[in-house]
Amino acid sequence: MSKPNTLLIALVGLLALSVLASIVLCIFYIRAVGLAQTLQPEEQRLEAKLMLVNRNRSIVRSMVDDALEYSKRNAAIDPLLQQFSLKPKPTAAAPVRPAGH
Amino acid sequence: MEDPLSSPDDSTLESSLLNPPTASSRELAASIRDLRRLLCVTVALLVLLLAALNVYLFHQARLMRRQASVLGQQIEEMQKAIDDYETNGVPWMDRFSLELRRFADAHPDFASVMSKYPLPASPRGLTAPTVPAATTVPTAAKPAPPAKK
Repeated sequence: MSKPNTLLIALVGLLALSVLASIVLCIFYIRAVGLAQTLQPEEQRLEAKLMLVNRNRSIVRSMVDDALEYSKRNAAIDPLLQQFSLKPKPTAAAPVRPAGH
Repeated sequence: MEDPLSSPDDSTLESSLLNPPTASSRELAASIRDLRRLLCVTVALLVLLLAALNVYLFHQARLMRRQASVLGQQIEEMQKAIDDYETNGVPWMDRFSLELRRFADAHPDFASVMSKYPLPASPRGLTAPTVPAATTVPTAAKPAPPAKK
């Protein structure tokens, strides 16, 4: 009776397992790449939007700075700035209470 | 007759194949032995190659998953910032811009300051190219450019 080549059988078994693992890993990899590719355009779209947001914010900040600068020359703009909490409201002088109260 | 390829034992192989042993049959047996060794080495090399490929694929898949996760988090944060801007920042900016334009209408010296900011100043332009009528800044607020050169 012939003796089976155990080494060869073991190697072929290992090979089969490796091929199986390769297939599973390939599927994982393809799914991960697909997920990343799905998210990429969304991220680019939001990045562009965020750039616009930052640009608009800087414009408004500049407007606020100019308005505050203008308020140093003309106090007529102060109520407007106070309305938007950009300038503290003048604190009214507290009435002097008579002693004993 | 036994299959000579399935019998690894040299003595068995020779007894089954070579009876009586001749020079050519001995050469054949040696060739089969060599072939078997070669097959073992090839399969072993293939296993090693596949193992290396698997390690590489595993690392790549993990890296991709991590990148996708980071990307997802970034998207979530950006969306949150944009939502906050659109719900809180834009109405405030619209009102502020409108009030400033009104003030500029009444104060020509401030109009020159406001002329630096082109219309539409409404930040709602971010979400829609055309500014809605409710939030549009009156065009009259924009100072007319000087006609003379």
